[in-house]
Amino acid sequence: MELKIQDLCVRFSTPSGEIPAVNHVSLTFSPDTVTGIIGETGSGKSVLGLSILGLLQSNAAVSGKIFLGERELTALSQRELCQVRGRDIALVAQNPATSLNPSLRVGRQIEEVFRLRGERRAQRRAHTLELLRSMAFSDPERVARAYPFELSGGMCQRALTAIAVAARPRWIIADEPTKGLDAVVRNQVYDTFCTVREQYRAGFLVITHDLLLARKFCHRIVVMYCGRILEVNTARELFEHPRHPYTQGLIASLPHLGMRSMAGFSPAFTHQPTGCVFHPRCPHARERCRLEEPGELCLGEGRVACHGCT
Amino acid sequence: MRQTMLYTIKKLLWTVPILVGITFLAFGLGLIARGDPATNRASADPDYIPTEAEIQALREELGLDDPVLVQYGRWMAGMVRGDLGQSLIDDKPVLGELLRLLPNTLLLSVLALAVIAVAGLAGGLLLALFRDSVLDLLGRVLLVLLMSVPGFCMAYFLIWLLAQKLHILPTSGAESLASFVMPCLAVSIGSACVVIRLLRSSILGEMGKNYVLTAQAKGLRRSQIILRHGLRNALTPSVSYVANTFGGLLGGSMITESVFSVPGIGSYALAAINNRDYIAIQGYVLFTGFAFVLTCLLADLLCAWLNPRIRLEG
Amino acid sequence: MKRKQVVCYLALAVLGVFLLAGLAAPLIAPWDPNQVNMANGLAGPSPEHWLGTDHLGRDLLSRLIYGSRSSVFIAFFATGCTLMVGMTIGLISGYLGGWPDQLIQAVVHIFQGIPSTAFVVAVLGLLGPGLRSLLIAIVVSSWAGFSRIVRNQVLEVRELHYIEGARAMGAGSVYIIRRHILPNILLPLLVLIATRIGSTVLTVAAMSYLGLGLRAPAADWGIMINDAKLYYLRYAPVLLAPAACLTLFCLSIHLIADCLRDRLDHDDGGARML
Repeated sequence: MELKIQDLCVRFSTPSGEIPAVNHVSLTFSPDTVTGIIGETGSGKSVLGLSILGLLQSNAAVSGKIFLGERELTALSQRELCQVRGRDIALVAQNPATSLNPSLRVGRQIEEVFRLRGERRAQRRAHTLELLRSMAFSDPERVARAYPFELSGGMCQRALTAIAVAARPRWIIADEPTKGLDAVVRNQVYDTFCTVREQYRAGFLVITHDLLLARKFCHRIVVMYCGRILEVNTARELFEHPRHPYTQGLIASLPHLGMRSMAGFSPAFTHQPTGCVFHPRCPHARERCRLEEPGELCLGEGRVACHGCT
Repeated sequence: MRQTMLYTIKKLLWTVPILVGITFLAFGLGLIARGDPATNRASADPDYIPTEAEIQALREELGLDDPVLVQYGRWMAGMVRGDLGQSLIDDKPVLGELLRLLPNTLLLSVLALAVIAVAGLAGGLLLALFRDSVLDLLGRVLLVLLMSVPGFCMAYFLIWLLAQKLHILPTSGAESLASFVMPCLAVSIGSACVVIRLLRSSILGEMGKNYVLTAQAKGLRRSQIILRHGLRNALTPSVSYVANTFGGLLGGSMITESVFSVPGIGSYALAAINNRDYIAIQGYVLFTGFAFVLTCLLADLLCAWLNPRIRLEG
Repeated sequence: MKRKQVVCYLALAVLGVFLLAGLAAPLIAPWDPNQVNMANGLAGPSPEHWLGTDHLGRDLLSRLIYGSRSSVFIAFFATGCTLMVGMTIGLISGYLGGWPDQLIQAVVHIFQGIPSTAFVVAVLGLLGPGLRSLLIAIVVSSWAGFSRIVRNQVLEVRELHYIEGARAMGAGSVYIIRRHILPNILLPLLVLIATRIGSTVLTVAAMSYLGLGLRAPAADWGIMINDAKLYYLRYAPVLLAPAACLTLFCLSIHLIADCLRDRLDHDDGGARML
């Protein structure tokens, strides 16, 4: 079932002013491909993910439409959204260490998903253990009995993934799955996701700033900056021929490509540049970039928003 | 399981030195305040002026010339035997009197505990569930108003309303359960308001945590998240507060007991103080201290059960 | 946002009125608070006596104003003393760490092991009533809470990296405490001070009510309530007026504490937003 975003805008009203976190984003995700959304911290990618689930805080104003298949998610009531969450679209939240309830045993937190589906106690338990085993836990009984703080970061991450896939959702949104994990655990996460993808055949949306994970795991990549989409392309094309100067900068800053850092910093949300949001940092910026916001240009399978690309 | 055991043992062991410290404190307070009991006792008869020798003899008889530690040891030995000494005024054993008055105070405290816990839990949950609604707003205004009314003003208001105007409750005494209703309300309304506010704000604080996002993404409704996830984590501060209040109440609420003439530990202490009966005061301080520390110990264990992370920190 | 600020300023204004009334009591009080006029006992409001008189014919308004002087000032002074004692001990304990810390904390736990009302009453009873004993009783019974919180805050702040940085640059202990630690623990401490002032006013009133604090002819809210308990059915304001003052004072303290607390949690709000 396709996940479609139409002209999505998200604004947060805060004491220090309005913050436009997502600006006029339109995207279509197909369940057969894994889509990665990459960008720096504060580029609005997590907000985008949470807005699909309708889980933004109450000070967020959302406009635009989000469709799951034929269903318009943005038109659903909270109660109906609760039906969608978990069953249709599941979330693997960021920060595995804090994303599990610290005072409930891990098993119980997984069981809760089965409980929501009306399963009985014994059945829930059996399902939980089975699920944990499939998540490559060697001792599921022990993990189910453990409290989250008794598990390592990687184990918490897998437990979170188990919660997400428990209801066999059609879509899984993984928010920064590798944030703050070391290289070994990052590889474990990748392995887990591959297993999940094989077993559950769910559509995958990976929100990450980990370019290597995106390149390895995703088929299609969306580059976000300041709440806008700068470039969309297949993973291979994007990494081999990045078109947008920002994408070029991101890829050039990868360690094995010389680790050249980009000039400047992401602008504050409250003071966004006019015209093309990237122009203050862009090496090829021209007068036109300062004044006029670039439209989207379709090139082959991808698209890019830059005055410099023709 | 092992952690729980370890934590419990650790807590229990920690309590021992605190209890010993309280005995020091109680004894020390008495020591500072007693003046010279021998002179006082010898001068009990106002028509007779005692000689120095007589006072000295009395001093030796009472063991006041011994080193302080020896006196403390004697007092402690008595305490272990269940003897807190005799009141200077009527020579009744202090412990016996305290135990005689305990049932009234205990009944009052337990009733108040029930009111505070039930009202606090229900109110806190309700306000958190209906956050920012009219109910929440009005409730919060009412709460802050009610908790600002001092207990003894509340007591007089209740007497005026329930006894003088509506004639549904007796004003004083401890004969029937009905006479405990007003004292109980007078001591518990303010604390209940504090607990409601505390619980509401800690539940809402929990709702901003990351794990709530996971719970939401499972498809749980807000009420389910509050009940199954938030409440348990949010209870700790409220439990500590309730335990503190209850522990304090066990030591007798002097004002409430005197307003409603309930014969309890508080009024006993008040009488002892007005008579400067230092032995009774020592006993009273010791008794309330022990009751308070043990209540807090129970609360700590309860919190550790609710929130397993506490067991690790110890 | 706006409404909260208005409430906060209102509360501050009320507190200011009490303080001013207390400071300028001899100037603004229309009568001598202790001037007895038995012929005019329990009289209703009149142009001479705006709030009427109590059972001895003393002017209620003047007694309230002088009562604000004793209650509020004792509360502020006692809280100040408690703060000094508690903060000094807490700072030393937290900053030194190690066995001195353990020892001080053990003492703190012992002092906290006795419920504060019982403690105040016991100390007062043993020292005898009066202003001096009241102050001593309040300080002795509540310094421990302060020092424990200060110590925990210091421990928390001490671990922050920039303190280590300052130490590495050769800053002395006093300098670090004054420049880095104190400003950091100030806001949480302010909340505590505010609530403590409120509870001290209540303690003072309660003790005076019980006859353990200030003694009878003195104009104090607690004494006024005690005096009123036999007469309030005949003329309600003798009880209502001091009770209302106490309530209003506590209310303003609670509201101010709430504002401070809001300010304290301010930066936690947007944590999950991005």
